[in-house]
Formats: sequence, structure tokens, C-alpha cells
Amino acid sequence: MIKNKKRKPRVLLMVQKSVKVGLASGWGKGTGGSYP
Amino acid sequence: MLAGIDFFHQAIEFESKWVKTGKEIFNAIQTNGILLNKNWLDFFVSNFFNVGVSLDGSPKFHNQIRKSISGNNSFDKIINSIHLLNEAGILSNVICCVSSVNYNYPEEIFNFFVSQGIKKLKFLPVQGRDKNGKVLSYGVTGEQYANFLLTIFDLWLKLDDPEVEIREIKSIVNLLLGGNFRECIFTGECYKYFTIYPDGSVYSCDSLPKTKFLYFGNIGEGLDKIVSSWNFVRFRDRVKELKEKCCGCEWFEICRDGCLKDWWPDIFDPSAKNLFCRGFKKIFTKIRKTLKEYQMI
Repeated sequence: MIKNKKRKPRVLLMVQKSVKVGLASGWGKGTGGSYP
Repeated sequence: MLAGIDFFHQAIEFESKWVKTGKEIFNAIQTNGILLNKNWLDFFVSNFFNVGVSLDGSPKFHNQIRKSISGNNSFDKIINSIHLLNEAGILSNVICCVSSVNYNYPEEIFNFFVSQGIKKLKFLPVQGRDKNGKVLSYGVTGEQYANFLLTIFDLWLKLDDPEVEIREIKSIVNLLLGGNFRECIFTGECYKYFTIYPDGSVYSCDSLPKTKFLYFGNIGEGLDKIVSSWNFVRFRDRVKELKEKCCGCEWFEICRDGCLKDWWPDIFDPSAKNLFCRGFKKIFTKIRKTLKEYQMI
């Protein structure tokens, strides 16, 4: 269990903010071809 | 970049004609960075390219797999290119392949990237099987990938630097919080991605094998003909069928059946299943639990 529930990580708050302002689209295709 | 810089200059010229008609065009390139020099850098900067580079961690991991044609290690050249791109402000992200070589070292890898000032990251699992179904020697299982990514998630929270972005994690958190910021693997719309090869032939997303069943035509024939080709229609309908297979899952609205390359033995096989399904369920479950603990959902 997380001890201090009040202190939310800034990285999560930043994502939450992006949800609130309604960023709708994601990234483009994420990979490139076969591997390696 | 193998096509040479003149090819790209010509492409920009073509684009400029369409831009004048009001079209918006964005350019991005994913490269191993080997060919990057001042000419390329100037070109990318002056034409507003976003450049992504592939690097699998520190030299001890990266050099095990990523050799040049002559068999030399490629790390030094690539990290130099990354720093040049970063300084120029056009490095969009670094893709790190998670393979059997590095999946056990998430902390070392995360700390390495952060120490190098590389803050936009994507961790791509190497998945693949041979014709007999045997996992490729470099591949990882869904469970191994899940454990890797969840450790990265914990490290990301601990570091708590808003400039550090892990694409998969950011997308999953966003979706769990009710957003719609989707990595391509979570769209369930793989038929919207095409690959155009140097001869103009058009296939599905290049994460899938280049087979005759996924050949949709030639770009010279025009897009209408391509999207009405029998192969394309069959592919699009199959993507929708696979999506329906998953719609009873509690994670469907996040995952939407994942990346097609992870469906084995073949997306057209009636018994096809997603090899990373359990792994992603584990990832979603853990991240949701954390968001609940922070009372964000």
C-alpha cells in the first residue's frame, strides 16, 4: 500500500492533466520493421 | 536514409506543393543513426523532421545484437548521433528493443537512458517464432516483457521527472484515466497503417511479415484501388474479427486486441491467439492498482 496517498507523482498528474485537456490522438506507428 | 539525401529533398519538394493547397504534412523518421552526419542533421532541422533512433541500452546490451554489416559494434556511432539530434532538439524518441539479452536488467537500462539525457522512450518487445513455433533466440515472452515494463513503471514513478516519457506506460495510464491517447497497438485499427516499399508496392504495417496475402497493390494505382483490393478487404475484416474475439475481455477498451504481430501462428489462422495477452493483462492490472492507490481512479 502506498503510505502517503496525498502526494501523487508528478508524472501521473501530468498524464491526468493531458486527459482533462482532451488530447485525443495518440502517437503514430511505433516500430520500424523487423528485428534486429 | 539509404535512399540518399537527394531522395528526401525531392520528397520535400513534392510535399510543398500539397502544403500550398492547405494539407498538413508531418515528417518523422526512425533510424539506427549510423548514417547521420552534419548534412543530414541540417536537413532534418530545416525541414522540421522528428527523428527516432533505435538503441537497446548501454554497450554491453546493445553491441551484443546490433552489429554493423562488417560485424563491428555500433553503439559508439549511434549514441553520438543521438546526442547530436538531442542537442538540435529534434530527437523524438529512442526505441529500445526488449530482448533475451536485456529483459533482466530494466533498472540498469532505465538509469542508462536517463543518465544520457534520453527522456522519450519506447520499449518494444522482441517477439517472434520460427515456422515450428519455437521462440526466436532473441525473443521474450509476454511474462518477461510484463516484468520488465512494470519495473520500468516503478522506476518512472520513483524518479518522477515529468520530462521522462515511456510511451507504452503513458498511453496505458492515459487510457485508464479515461483518455484516448493510444499507442498504435491499442487502436484495434491496424488496417489504417500501410507500408510502401521502394518499388511502390503497398503492404500492411511492416510489423507483419511481407507475404502475398498482405500485398494490397501498388501506390501508382491510387489509394482507392488499394483499399478496395480483395487482400485489403480480407485483412481489414480479419482485424475486425480478431477485435471481436477480445470484446468480452475486461481490458478490451484499453487493449483492443493489441499488436497484430503478436497473434500466433498467423492472423488468418482460426485458432490464432495473442501471445502477449497475459503479459499485457498483468501490466494493466498493476498500473490500475497503482492508480487506485493514489486515488486517481
